[in-house]
Amino acid sequence: MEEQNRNVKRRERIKTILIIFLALMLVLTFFSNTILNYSLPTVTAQYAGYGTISEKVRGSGIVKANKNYDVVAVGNRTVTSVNVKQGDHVKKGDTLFVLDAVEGDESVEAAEQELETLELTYQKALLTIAPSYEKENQDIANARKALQDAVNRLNEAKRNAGNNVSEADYRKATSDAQKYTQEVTTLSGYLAAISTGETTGVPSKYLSGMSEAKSAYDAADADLAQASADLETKKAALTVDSATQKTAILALERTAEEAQTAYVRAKEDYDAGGTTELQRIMEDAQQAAKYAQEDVDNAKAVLTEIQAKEAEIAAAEDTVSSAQSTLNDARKKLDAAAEAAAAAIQKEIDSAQSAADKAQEILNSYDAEGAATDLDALQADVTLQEQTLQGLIITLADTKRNDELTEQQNAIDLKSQQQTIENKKKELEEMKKNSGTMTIKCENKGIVSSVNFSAGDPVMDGAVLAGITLTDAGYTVEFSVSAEQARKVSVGTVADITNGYYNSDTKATLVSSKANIEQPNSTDRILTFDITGSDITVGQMLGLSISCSSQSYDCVVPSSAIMEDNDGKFVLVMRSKSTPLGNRYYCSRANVTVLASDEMSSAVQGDVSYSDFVITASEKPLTPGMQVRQEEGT
Amino acid sequence: MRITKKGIIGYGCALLSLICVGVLTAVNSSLCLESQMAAERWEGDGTMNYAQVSVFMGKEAGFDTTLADGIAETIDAAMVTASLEAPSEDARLWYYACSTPIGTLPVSGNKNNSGNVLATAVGGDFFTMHPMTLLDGSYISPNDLMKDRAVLDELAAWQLFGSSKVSGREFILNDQRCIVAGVIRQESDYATDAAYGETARIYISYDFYAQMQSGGMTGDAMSAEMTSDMMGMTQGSYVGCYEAVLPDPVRNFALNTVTDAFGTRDCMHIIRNTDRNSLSRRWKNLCHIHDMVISVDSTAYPYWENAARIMDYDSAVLLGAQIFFMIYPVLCALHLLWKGYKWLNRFISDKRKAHKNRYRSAIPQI
Repeated sequence: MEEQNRNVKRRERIKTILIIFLALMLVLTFFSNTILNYSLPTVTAQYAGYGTISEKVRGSGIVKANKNYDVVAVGNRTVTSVNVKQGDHVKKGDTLFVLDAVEGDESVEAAEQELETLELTYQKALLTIAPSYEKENQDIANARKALQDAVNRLNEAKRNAGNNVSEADYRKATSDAQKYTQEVTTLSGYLAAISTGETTGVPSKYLSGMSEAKSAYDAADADLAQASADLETKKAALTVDSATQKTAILALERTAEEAQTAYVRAKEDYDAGGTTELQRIMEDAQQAAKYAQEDVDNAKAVLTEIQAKEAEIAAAEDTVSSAQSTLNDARKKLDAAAEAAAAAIQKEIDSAQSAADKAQEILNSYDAEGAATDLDALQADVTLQEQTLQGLIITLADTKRNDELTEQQNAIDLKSQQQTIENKKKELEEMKKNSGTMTIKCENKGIVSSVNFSAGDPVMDGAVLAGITLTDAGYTVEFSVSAEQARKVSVGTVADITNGYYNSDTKATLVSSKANIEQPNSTDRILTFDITGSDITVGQMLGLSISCSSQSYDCVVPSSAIMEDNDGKFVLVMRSKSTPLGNRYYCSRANVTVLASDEMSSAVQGDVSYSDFVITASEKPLTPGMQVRQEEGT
Repeated sequence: MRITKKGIIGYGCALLSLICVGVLTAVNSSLCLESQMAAERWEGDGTMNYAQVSVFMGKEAGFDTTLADGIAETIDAAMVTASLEAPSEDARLWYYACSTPIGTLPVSGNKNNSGNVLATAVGGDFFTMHPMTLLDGSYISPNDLMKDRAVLDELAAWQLFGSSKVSGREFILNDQRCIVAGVIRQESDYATDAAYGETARIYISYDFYAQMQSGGMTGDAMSAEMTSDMMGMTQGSYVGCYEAVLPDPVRNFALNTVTDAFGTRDCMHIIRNTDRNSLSRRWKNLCHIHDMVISVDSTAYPYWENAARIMDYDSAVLLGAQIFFMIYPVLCALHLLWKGYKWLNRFISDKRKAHKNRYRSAIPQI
């Protein structure tokens, strides 16, 4: 029973678990789509389509007027009234300021004083003394007289110099004496050299006979030296003479004879006795006799050699004596040649000496008359006087030229002073005329940009009372852009005003693009715009945007849709697939190439086509094939 | 083998621990940021492996936008040397992004709405590297003709205009006229929320940053020393973060290429983002967990790196928890194996005995 109950309870439990499980499955199945969708990444997408890519270059700058002019005070005055304020539009002839003269103004008196000073200076400058050249002329006349005197003295000296003697003759006599004297000295030197045997420096014409004799002498001397050396060598080789050797041979022969005698006796004794001892004695004696004989033979051979050497020595001595006699002959010939040369030189010496003596005699006779020694000095004096005269003439000419120039300069200065005096007179008249109340009027149409003084303020001469911007001259705005940005814009383009009012008629036109001269190293360019309109204020900040050249493309997508990986740029296109549980969306990769882009969009070409739904943003990175869901409201 | 109540409880606990490990593993796997997945996105369906490398630099590193161009050329040369090239003419092999935190700047929109925003100068393909959700408009790019455009975050757009659909509107940033290029929303995860902060953010181009510098900075955007540092830089603007996605045919190729290109500099940290979620990296973080919470120089990380570091820390802690919870199931498994071994031994010996008895009994006793 209990077991039955237990089984029932167990079945109930299992049934309950199954029911809960199936209910859970049902709920999950119903909401699976929703649950699945919530797990998918959310994306925003946009259709690719036809569009225009247009880049813009932006910048801002301060409006400046092209022309301004300053209203300036004339004279020291007091501002009585100011009739304009900053920002007022004025036209030509409008009264701007009313000025009164300052009391106790000393400017007119100062001007009169100054005029008087100028006129006094001018009068003084007119009083000048003309230059005088009397002293210089007198000096020149004195110089001419001195020159004339010198010339007269010279001519007188020449006339008194003697009929047979001219200056040329005197000089010739002097040079002849010197020449012959020098020749004698030289030849004496040659003679001394020959007598000592040293012929270096002696001309060859004197040595013609000696040279051959000297050559022969030198050859004989060399032969003698050679023969002497040979003889000495041979003598040194002979250590023992033949006589000594003969004596020695004689002694050896006696010894040999004695040894032979002893042998004969010993032989006889042996023949007689026949004992062993006797035999020994005989043999010894025989041996001794034999040796003695050998010694004699050797000594005779040596004697023969010695005799041969002595014969050679004798022949060498003959050669030496022959060479000596040859040398003596050569010496005699040389001495004879030297004597002949010396005689020739002496003859020339004598000739030169006589010529020198004769020349000296002539010179002595000229000196005794005292004819030519003063002419040089007188000539030098004449030359000096000529130079002195020339110098004085040139100096006078320079002085006259300088004085002329000075006179011309003085004339110009005087004219200038006169003109200054005239101007000062006019200025004084004007000051006298303006010393009363003055009204300053506007000279051109414009807008008052600044007013620098108020009523009651004193102003100095030349002070800027106000500034006026000329409206007819136009306005400009400038700003700097990079070189790349400057390349994109073209002159003449009308720019959009980014911070202007909606109905404003302000217009900006690009008029120039030039290098930034304030920063020469920079590649930036300065764009200048011409601003026109009715409500332009100088100093206002104007933001401009210039459209670069735009182009239309078939397939333009937002720039945020372009992605990139190592295979290149691509976009993710959202594709849909129909499933039993509804449409499922997934992203697929489309490789693209970017043709152009601006700040918002990019023109592409590739696997994406017009009307593809391109994913522009997602809440997490996507991979191709990933399932996505579209953000609600897009 | 008899299963006792104690055994059921023990193995039940082991199973629970395993479930905990499974849950922790699932949670750990989910800890990743889109800003760290740039390499995976760039790879697409291609066969080449890519890696994301980030370089964070302080002011002392002296790195500016001019040097960034030089680094790009060096890396291009390294690619050529390694015979790596883009798959097609229109494609690029690699790309980089730069960013610099400028600081707080005053901003004002229409109807006297004004406030302060945290400005960041960006360059390169910053928004390809950080694909923040675009609510309106488009991103800015170095190829744009006009450099006076900025990307606002949702908070800044609401602060200035009261709406997110404000692309093309004008506003004033630090006395400079600026145009809204787009409005974005940052990643929505706990780490990014913590690192991002409550202040509105704005992203401008380096050209606009340089223009602001030449026009004079106002506000409390910079400390005095940073301003003087900027004044000293005559060639480019200081870059605080350089990120690149490079081919990584072998491990650490991208990291080594970037390291070689940058050389040795003070106050510089190079990180390989791609394997941040790997087990080895998490284990390394766990072993040096103290290093993750200290800073030894003046390098300031951007918010996305701070968020990634938060996740690195949490990931290391979770790994530690995984290891802790794994201990008991492993011990139980070992115990089960031991018991199974004993049971097998006993079974075999019983069978042997039984066989012996049967055999013995079959043999007649002599």
